[in-house]
Amino acid sequence: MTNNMSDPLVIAGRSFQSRLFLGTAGYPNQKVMLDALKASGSEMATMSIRRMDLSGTEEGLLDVIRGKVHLLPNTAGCHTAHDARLTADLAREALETNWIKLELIGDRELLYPDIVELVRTTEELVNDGFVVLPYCNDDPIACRRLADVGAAAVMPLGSLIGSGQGIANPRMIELICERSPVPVVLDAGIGTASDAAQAMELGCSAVLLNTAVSKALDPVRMASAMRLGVEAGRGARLAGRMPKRDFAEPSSPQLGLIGG
Amino acid sequence: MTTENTIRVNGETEALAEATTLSVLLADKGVDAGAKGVAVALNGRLVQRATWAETPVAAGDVLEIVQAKQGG
Repeated sequence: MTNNMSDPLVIAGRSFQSRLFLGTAGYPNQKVMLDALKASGSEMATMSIRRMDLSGTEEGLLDVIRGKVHLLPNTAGCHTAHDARLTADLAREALETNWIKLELIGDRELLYPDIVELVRTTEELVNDGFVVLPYCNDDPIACRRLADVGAAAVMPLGSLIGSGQGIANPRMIELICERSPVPVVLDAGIGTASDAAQAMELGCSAVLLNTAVSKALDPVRMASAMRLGVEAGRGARLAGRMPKRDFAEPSSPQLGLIGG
Repeated sequence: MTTENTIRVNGETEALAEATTLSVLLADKGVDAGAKGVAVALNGRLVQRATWAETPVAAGDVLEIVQAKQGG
C-alpha cells in the first residue's frame, strides 16, 4: 500500500509529505486561517508582499505563521517584469527564502499569465539564484519553455484565479503532466475537493489553492476535505484506474446462475 | 510641496527636512533594524538591511517599505 509517508514530493531538493499547498488570503480571521492550515496538512503556504501599514495597527501574519510551514511568497498583482523582479527581491529579503511563486499578469480582469514576460522573468530570477515556481497557462509548450529556463516546478491554472470553476481542460493538464520534466502543481481554479482529486488523478504532483478553502462556509472543514481529496486523487493515480468501456461488464460471475 | 523637499513613502508624499539615512528614516516610522519580515526598496531597487545605515535618503527619493501579508 502506498501512503503519503512513503510518497514524498521533492521540489528543488525540498521534500514534502503533503501535496497540498495553501494560500493565506481571504479567511474570516487569522485564527480560522491557522486552523485551516493545520487541517489541510499543508507544509507550504503562500504570502504576498505588500506595502507596510506604517500606523502600526495591523495584525502581523508573519509572526503567527513563521516556523509552522515553509513560506512561498508570490508576486501577485505584478504586471511588469520589473515589478515582479523587485517584488521577488523584496520577498527574499523579508522572508529569507529564495523560493518565489512568480505571477506575471497580462490582464486585470482575467488575471491570466503573460507568458512572454513570464518565461523571460523566470530565466532572470533563476539566474539570480531564485527557486522559481511560475503560475502559467495550461499550455504544454509554455510549461516546457519554463522548465527549459530553470523553473523548479510549473504551475498551470485549472481555470481563472478565484473562479472556483475546476479544471477547464483536463486533457491538457494530463498532457502537461506526461511531458513535464519538473513537478506540475495545479494552481488556480480549484473549487471543491473533487477538483483537487481530479488534478492528482490527471498526474499533477501537487495542488495549490486558496479561495476554495478561505471562502467555503466552513474553511477548516474544507481544508480537511481538500487534504483528503488530494490524498485520494494521488492514491488513485498511483493505483492505476481501470480502463473505460463502452458497454456494461458484469462484475458478478456468469457461471452458476440459477434458472435457465 | 515640491520634490525639492519631499520624498514619497509607500505612495504618500511627505516632507523631508534634511538629507538623512535610510535607517534613521525607518526608525522614525517605527521600523528598526531588527524588524522581522520587512524589506525596503529605494527608487525601484532593493536596499539590503545590512546597508540601511549607510544608505542616504534625499529629496525626490521614492521608498517602498513592504512586508509579507496574506496571499494566494
